[in-house]
Amino acid sequence: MSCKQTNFETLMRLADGELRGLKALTLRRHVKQCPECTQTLTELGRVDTLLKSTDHFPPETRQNALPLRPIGLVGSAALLAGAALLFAIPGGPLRPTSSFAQVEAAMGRIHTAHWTSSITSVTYLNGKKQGYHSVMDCWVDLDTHRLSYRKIKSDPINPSDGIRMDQADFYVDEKAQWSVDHGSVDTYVRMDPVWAQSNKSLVEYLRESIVLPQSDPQHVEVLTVQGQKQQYTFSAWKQSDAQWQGQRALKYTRTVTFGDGAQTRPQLVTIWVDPKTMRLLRRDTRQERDSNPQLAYSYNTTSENFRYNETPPPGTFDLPIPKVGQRFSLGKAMENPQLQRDNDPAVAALARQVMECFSQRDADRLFALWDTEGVPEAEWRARQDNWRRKLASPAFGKSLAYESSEAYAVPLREFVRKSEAEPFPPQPLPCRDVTIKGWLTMEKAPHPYLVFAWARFIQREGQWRIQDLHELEETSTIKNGTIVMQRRYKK
Amino acid sequence: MVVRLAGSREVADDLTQEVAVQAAQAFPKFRGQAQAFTLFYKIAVRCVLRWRQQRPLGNDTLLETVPAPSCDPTTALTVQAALHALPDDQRAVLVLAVYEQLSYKEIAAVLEIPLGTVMSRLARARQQLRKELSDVL
Repeated sequence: MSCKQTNFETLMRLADGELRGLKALTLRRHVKQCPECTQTLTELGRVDTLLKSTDHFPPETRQNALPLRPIGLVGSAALLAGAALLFAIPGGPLRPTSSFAQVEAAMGRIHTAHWTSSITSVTYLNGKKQGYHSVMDCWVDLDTHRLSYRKIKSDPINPSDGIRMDQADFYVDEKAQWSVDHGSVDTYVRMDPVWAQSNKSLVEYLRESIVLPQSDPQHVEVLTVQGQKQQYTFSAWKQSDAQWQGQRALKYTRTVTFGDGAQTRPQLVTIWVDPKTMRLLRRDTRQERDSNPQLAYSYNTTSENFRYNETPPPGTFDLPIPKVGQRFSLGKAMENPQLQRDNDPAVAALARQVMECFSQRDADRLFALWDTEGVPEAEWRARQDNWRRKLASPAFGKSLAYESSEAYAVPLREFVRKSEAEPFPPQPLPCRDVTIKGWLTMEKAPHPYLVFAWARFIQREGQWRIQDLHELEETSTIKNGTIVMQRRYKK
Repeated sequence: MVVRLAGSREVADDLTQEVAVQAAQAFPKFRGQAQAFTLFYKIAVRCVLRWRQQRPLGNDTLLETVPAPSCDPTTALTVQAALHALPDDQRAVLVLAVYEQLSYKEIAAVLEIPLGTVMSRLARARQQLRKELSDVL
């Protein structure tokens, strides 16, 4: 099956009642919308039905099948009867259904969630405490799939350091399929808002976050964080009774371990749930680090208090669009293998030209192959100087090979909003452009020594050009005929 | 279950007798650390798989043992043939899941394999059956 959201094994677990809790809930929602998964599930059911209908024995439950069937077959009841009495065959349903139907119904009654998120990040560096304390005001509208994170406060712990939270306001409108991330440095507009840590939509992620954790056992998830797969191990929730603002509440705790646990200590997550509505009331997280020898100790804590079905103030979910003259990044990561197949020959031809430029030390010809649209003059001059220096160096050897890696329908690009009348996001989206990422392998003195260049080529109106070219820090050497990967950090 | 795994009723009768004997011998040593039914299943599966290793099932045996279900005999034959064409390890997991309705955890305990292996074997078995039975689905 080609559905990217799930796989056959996960669907099978759902069909067998082995997938519970949030995962089952999410997958059931997905299946409703995915014809391919619906068909796979239907066929799974048909296979099982066919197996049972062509079986000699009618379907039985374990309760009536287990102790007696083998005995009846061979008439060896005497052997087993006495022994069978010693054991109690477990009762109850074989596949206990979780109570998530009830949860789903409860979730259906939540339209908005509003919470304040207090974030504290502290680092002790050389015995000095530094960091920041920030407060975010967060709203999510589950009906319209809109979300806003607004920074309402960010203070340095040590005023002389002036360290503040880099993250600023963040907005998502999933139905309009874009989000705005106002960092302190740049404005980044994503045209396909996906929560980076889970490959899920952000709103879907939040929807799951405020569902109660019951029946959510210990499990491992491999999530993609900044393009790297990382393993997260979630312990089972431990439940206890507690008080929350004078009312009885259910308190759950769990740990989340990232990677192999060597770099960071497990994150401790504590939540309080209203036992009547099973809604999340408060969530605290604490993450500690002490593995970096330069950072004696650091920790991040987050406290969030949730309220539901409040009416958001007007303009809460209005996405702030860039001002006229403001630069912004536009992203739409639409990976497309077909684009790669279709354009590989043309890009390989361009890559050959790049490699000729390297070998012939022809910097001017290399720059003529470059796409400079949207690149500020100063930055373009810096790039030219950098590559002139590289090509002039005797250490920079000949180019050996090119290999494409991935293709995207729309690249990350920088735009400048030219007038108030200009629609935002840009209409139509600049989907005519295609980028292909690839690797150039180069020889470097002292021989044999290989370096790689990471290249991004862009096609604008049928013309392929270099958009980005970086010599990589990761390098290889050949020892006794074997390539040995090394990391070299260059300034 | 023994019939389904062994593929022959006659053989299953003998094997079930052996299962019963072994189970009776094992009971005194049973410490109650696992559920009792896992012991039955464990012994049964082990007996059948050991027998299958010694004597692979031939087509003749299969024809002889195809039951007379209420559905179309040709379909029944196709299904049984597809089931018995599966590798032993995959068929054992499938039989325990589909016919015996054991949970994955229980299957893992019976077969003494990791939970992930249960899932991957079951998925492979079902995908294979889905492919083999596409004409009758």
